[in-house]
Amino acid sequence: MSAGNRERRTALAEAAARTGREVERYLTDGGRLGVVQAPPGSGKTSLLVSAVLAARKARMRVAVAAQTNTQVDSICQRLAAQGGGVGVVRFSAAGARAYDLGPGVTWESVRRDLPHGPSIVVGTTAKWGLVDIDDPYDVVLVEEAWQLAWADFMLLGQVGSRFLLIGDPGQIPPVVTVEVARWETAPRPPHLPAPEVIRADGSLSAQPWSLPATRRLPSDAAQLVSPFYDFPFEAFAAPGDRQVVVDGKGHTPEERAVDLLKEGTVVGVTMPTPEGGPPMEQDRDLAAAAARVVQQLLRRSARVTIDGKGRLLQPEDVGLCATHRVMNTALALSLPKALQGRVVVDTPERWQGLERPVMLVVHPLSGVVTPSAFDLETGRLCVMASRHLAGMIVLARDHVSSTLGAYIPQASQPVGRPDIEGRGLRDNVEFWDRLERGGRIVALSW
Amino acid sequence: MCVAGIPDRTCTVLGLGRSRPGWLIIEVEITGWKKAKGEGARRVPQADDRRLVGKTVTLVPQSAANLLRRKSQKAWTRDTPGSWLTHARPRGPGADLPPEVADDVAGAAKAVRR
Repeated sequence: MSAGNRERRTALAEAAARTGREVERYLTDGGRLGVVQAPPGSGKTSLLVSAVLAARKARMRVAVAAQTNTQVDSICQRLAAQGGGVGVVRFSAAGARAYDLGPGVTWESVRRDLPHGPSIVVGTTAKWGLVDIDDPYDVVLVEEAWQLAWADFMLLGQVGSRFLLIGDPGQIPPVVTVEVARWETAPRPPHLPAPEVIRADGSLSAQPWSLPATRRLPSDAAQLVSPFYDFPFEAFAAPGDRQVVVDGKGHTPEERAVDLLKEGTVVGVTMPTPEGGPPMEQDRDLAAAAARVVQQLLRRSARVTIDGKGRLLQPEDVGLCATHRVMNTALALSLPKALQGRVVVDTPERWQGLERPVMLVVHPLSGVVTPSAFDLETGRLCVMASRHLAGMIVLARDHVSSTLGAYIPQASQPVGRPDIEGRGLRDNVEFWDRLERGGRIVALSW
Repeated sequence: MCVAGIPDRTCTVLGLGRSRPGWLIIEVEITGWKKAKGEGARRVPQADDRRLVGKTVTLVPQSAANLLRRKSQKAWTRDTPGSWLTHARPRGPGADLPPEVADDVAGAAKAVRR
């Protein structure tokens, strides 16, 4: 690592640590409302764990609300590992089977049995929202806050009076299954992410912070996804710090795509669009192409280099992702039997919070010739494009570029609301253009 | 599962068995709302009340509707420590409708009184 790169990393690490210290001081000094926005893989959970432990050290009662049970377990495990013996309560649903989350983590499902003095209690937002809290907490920390709709956040008002929300604004917004048109222009739309509602109301004076850099993504991938965000961030990794290198030189298009990972961490692979239009939700040919690329990587003994440390790529190091479950099924079935179950295949919603050295993703607009505002919303693409540590291959039918070029946004949003469709179109165009301009797209033939 | 019409009386099916052809034995443990509740015609007896022996009970899958109702009710609770944030009247830009499109509630109330 060059001296300049080392200095840059040190500066970024110091900026992140400074933010962490400011957040801790804010909580222990009685701050009422803070919002931390962070790029993918930037140490959100580390910041949350440090802030929780600092508040507990100041003898506060601390409640932590996460969005899924997996997130809750992960936070409990990290608190147990870093807390130096501090007790943590895993607040669970009645009847949940307790399992070992580390020393000092106890399970509790009855709210009357929760500790009364200074303590740390971690549960899902759903659990916190449905019980009656008699003894409110000093502070409530919310993990993955951009996945939490304002309507659900309102239920946390009974848990405590001071709040710290931490999350990634680029993630997929909360899933709301009812018609929301009537609330679009409400001052506090219940279906929007809680941090967005808070930040839109200037009278709430929320204390804002941003984490400065992604530790997960390679440098060029950070540049590729940064237009999806409204705040600047960098990558800890410098160009060349992350690589996927294979033996020999390839001849077929799939082999050339894999070769390209040597020079940059993101590659696009396109297949010709049939004259009658592309297959819609399940594209078996594209799934087969993805499987061939995975096999290429493993057969040619791909070596992954992450921050100076190299190792042979294993099937477990590779992940596949598509937006539709039927396409994910096609991807999983296209893999050889020996790889099925070892290469994880799932939707972007389920990939949130996870990472792999190498990801193969099916572009959300592949097969979509007349996109809707939902298709253009960039949360899914952003999640898909920010799961890899060393290499990502984006697969799509070759109509994506022309589909985006021909699309005219309707700007049908209510007056005063942001043009999500237009913004999504712009970001999608920029994402694909960058790959095209950089010569990072390989076209497969039939 | 829960008892049809009494969504809070939840139960878990512990086992299924056959004693003779055409008969199915379902072993059920009542897990929620075991005590007697209510008065008069709306009284629900204790879950193990002997008077229930021989009565027909319909069990249905417990729906999420009950949870949604509780969530909805709790969302209206304003007397909470965090209500300064979660239930405060919105202020700032866009909080009030411009006068040309806003309803004149005070004027309407005055007209009704007249």
